[in-house]
Amino acid sequence: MDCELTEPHSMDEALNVLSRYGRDAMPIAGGQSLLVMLRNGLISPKVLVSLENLAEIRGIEATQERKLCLGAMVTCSMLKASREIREMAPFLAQAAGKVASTPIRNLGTIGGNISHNELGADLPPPLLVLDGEAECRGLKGLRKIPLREFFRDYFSTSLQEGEIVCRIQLPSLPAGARGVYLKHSTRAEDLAMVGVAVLLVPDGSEGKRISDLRIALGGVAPVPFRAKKAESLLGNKTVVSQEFIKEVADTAAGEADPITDADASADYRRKMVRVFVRRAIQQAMEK
Amino acid sequence: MNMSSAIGRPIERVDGREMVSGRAVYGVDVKLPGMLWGKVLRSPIPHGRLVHIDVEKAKKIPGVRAVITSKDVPAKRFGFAIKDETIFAVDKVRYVGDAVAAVAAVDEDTAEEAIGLIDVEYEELPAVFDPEEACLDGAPLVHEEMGTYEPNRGRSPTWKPILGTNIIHQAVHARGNVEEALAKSDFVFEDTFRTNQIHHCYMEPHAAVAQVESGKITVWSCAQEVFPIRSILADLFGVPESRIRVVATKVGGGFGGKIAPRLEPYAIALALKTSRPVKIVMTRPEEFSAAAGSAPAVVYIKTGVQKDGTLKAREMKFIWDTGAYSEGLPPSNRALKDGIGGYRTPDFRITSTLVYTNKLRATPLRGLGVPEATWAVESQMDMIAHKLGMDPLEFRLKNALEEGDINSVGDVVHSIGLKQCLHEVAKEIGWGKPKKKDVGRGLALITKSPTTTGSISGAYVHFNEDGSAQVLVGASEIGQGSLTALSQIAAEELGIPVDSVGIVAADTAVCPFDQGTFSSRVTLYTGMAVKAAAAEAKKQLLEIASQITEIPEQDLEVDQQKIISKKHQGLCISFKEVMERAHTNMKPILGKGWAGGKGDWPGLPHKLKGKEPTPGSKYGAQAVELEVDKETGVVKILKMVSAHDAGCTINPLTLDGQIVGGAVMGMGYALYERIQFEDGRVTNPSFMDYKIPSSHEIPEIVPIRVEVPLPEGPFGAKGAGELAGLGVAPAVANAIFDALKVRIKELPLDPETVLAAIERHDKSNVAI
Amino acid sequence: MRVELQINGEKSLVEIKPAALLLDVLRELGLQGAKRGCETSHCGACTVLVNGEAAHSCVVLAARATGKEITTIEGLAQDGDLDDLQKLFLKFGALQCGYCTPGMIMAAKALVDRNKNPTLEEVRTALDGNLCRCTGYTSIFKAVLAYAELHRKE
Repeated sequence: MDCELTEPHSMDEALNVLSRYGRDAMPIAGGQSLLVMLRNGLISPKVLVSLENLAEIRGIEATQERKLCLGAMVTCSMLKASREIREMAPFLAQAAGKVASTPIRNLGTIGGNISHNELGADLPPPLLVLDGEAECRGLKGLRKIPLREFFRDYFSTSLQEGEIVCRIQLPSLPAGARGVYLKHSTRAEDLAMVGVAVLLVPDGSEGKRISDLRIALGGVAPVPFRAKKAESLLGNKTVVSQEFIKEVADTAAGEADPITDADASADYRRKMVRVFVRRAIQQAMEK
Repeated sequence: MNMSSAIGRPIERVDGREMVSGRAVYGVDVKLPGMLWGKVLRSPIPHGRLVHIDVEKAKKIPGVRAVITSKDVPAKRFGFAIKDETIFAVDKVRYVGDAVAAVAAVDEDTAEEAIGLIDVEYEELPAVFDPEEACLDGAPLVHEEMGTYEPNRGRSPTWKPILGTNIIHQAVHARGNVEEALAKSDFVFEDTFRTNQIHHCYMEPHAAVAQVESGKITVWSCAQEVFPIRSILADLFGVPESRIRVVATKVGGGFGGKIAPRLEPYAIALALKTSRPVKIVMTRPEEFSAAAGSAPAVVYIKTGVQKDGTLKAREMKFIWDTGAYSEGLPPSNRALKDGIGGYRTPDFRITSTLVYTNKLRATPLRGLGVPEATWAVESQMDMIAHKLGMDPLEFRLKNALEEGDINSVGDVVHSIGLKQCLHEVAKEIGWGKPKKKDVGRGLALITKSPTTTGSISGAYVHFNEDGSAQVLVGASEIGQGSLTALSQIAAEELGIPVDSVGIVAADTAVCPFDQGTFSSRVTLYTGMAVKAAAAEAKKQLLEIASQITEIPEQDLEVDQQKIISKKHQGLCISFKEVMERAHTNMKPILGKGWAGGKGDWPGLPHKLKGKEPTPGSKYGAQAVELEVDKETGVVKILKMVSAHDAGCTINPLTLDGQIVGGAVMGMGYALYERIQFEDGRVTNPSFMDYKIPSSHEIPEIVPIRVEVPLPEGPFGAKGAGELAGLGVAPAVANAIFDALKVRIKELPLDPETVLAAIERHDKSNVAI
Repeated sequence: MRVELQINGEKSLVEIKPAALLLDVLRELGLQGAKRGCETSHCGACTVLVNGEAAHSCVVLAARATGKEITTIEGLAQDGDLDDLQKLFLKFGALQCGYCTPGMIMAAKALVDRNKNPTLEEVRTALDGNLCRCTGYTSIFKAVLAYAELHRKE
């Protein structure tokens, strides 16, 4: 574990170091995943570039138009406790509260969480249904990547060498939008075997019609993703009946591509997608 | 009870202050001048010939002080049960994790680097991973030389290998004529149950520090049994036991996994080679893949009952997987004796087959084979009750052992609160009361006889000059609170406050012989030894006091560190005064005591007649209430009740600690713990992938103490600890059946397994 | 590199490798209460407080702990007198082998110092990064809730 540590005080400084060392440098946010990998010899960077002193990316802002801007260095504990998020997207705060354990939430960051892209992470599904966008910076400049295009493969994202996530922008939600995040895991602090985020918008009629349906799944494919086929079942006049919900859930399960691992088999995971998509929609409808 | 009595009071842990202050010294905390760090190189393949080892590159790294292999250490075989291993693999490796070489270096990183540079050439051999397959003709042999092995001195006298196979031990324990009895039964039930292999998951990874100074070896380690380990090490290194000192450090949990030597041989070998102290600590992945797990079993059980619910006969066959080395022998032998459960069963036969495979070894784990037996017996008891249309509680009460019955070990049962435990848990769980849909309740009866096989304990009790006392015992404190309980016993006997007792344990240079800490034996055996030693010390004190006061001994008594006399009301002389006089020109007070012995081998005449009981059988019952999410298979335990008849309570705080802690460990065994393998390699060697209960999973747990005094025990105590997790798994399975009419016969009852069983049941729609 | 660490109210100047973990540095300094129990930051035996918040010191770079208040188990007792939480752990038998205890106490402290009226659920959450194999947690919950109650009275 012989590597250097630099602690830049500005984004430019950080990007310069990353660029100079290329593959030999890694940015370190909260370090909650990175330091485990370092200790176990799974990575061997020559330089760690600490993002801790970059105050400009540690804030949570809500604009007048009710957009949310989350700095990459915002921790899970901050997300969980944030007044703005609890008011505007409470299910994101709840999901943040389900990440790992308290000490890890205290230091683990949203930027680190999505950049690491571990199977079963809790933040990506809610961020996906919130149509989040990652603002990424490298020496070449700024890139805005919709989160739907951000996750590429297991532990792999669209970030290029020398690029880091600076902010995650969440557009304003339609009025009346309701979100739910359900996590299925052996124990509370485990990674999700299946993570389901649902966001829907009732259309104002007496209850059973919705104008928007968004479904994101985590833990059941190489990347967390939006279940587009399932979402597209929502037509203009759809009544959200039990049959409709079942069809959506079945379709979403078909879009999953889960693996078998120490926790569960692929078959079980697929079944659980069906169960939890259905439950998430039902819960969102009942809110 | 006398208010001044030390017995039955929730005395705080006498070793607690250092633990809450972070100052307790575990093996990893031991620091000696010039100390080196050791690391072990382990085989990456499950079975293969060791062709060549090249250590030259490793030796050259700056900071490396020694690199050793089998050439550098004694070639002798050793082993806790059967002597079937060598310090390093000599001609072949037998599991992924088998030790091949070791390094001592100035720091951990350097040692790790050196390990990575040792080149080993293997010639892979076919391996066998399943115990049933390992019994078939033509299976690869894990230990071809089994015929030349010897048992470890006194531990395994009834070792019965089947030469030319992987069956290291096959034994039968029987009474009556089980075939005849089965033939006469109204109903016969036959089932096969499977268990999981779990890891002890003590929070402290194994640690050992060895130092060699002027021909004397000192080892600090997390040993549950310092004397047996010393014997093994002394024999192994060819050193008289008077020149090896084994000291148990603070032990961060054992649960049976720290009984056998694990790191000590490497630490000593490296210390001998470098002439410097060497510390070795296991990493957590090493713990999961190269320490040991429990001994999993396939259990075939055939029970004969009459239609009125009387148990007539029971036949059980166990196939145990001991992995690459034979430490699975103790649990397989214990299940042989206790396997049929705490019921009146005149005719029974248990066959136990212990099989080598090319995997992580099994070793004793809390319960010593009885969890596996109980899983089968207590599950089947419910299945039988259901078929007979009987209440599972009534069915058990009808057949449970009572005072005067003869148990499966051949003893006449006495001091038994078994039925009381059943009644208590049934009441507390609301047995028979209405419950919500998809909620189920299940029971299990638990019992275990002590694993004495002649185990013995000694104790010394001395008075200090100021009237306080010193207790020396050989058994280790592993977190169960033995130092405290033993201090309480000494204090009570001596008539002094618990605060005035100093206790030193588990140091072979200082303490008297004790078989060690296992099978919940310390409160009973070491406790009786301490009581006897204290009684002797007290007697000597009174003798001296008698000489000083010229009052006859029989008229003197102790009270609050003073000597008083009912006959001579004015007399009041402090212990301090007596001791000062004693030490000035009389004599020291040296109390000694011992307890145990005799053994429980059925073949002995006194055992066949059931006349000499092996005291310390423990009894209990457990009940759970749970709900099942039928769509996900998730079992959520709402409440667990665990009643123990531990005899009279020495310390309610530590006893409840065992009952509750054990129940949670049982919950992990029941619901999600399992060491997973692929081609012999452990695939979940971390707390991320091997899950033990954590704070969110804990249901309401009610511990109940049922106190039926044991006359042979110290102040009536029996002990506890091993019993504590035994019944949770079958109680959970029984509760799942109660809720859903779905019977599952394999562990763990994880969501996927439960869901699959629900789906099968729904398809066939047949209640078993 | 040299870093200045503020530990239990005292400043220490230490020479460390840049990627040194806080757990290892603390233990080198003789503060051996924090323990290594795993390699994946799951067990919590290494828990200390950093600016009053619970942190797994096995995943904290020592160099990044500079300028922050680090509190370890050794910093709780005042003048040899045990802290109330330590006393309550003893009173409720909330420890057996003691290996998880320093980390457990620190995690509990982080909770009650900020929330004097935690629910049982909040206690579970505060301790969800601390594994215990011996006690079954129940006595630990009791000790922590008793500590909170004691603090409410003050």
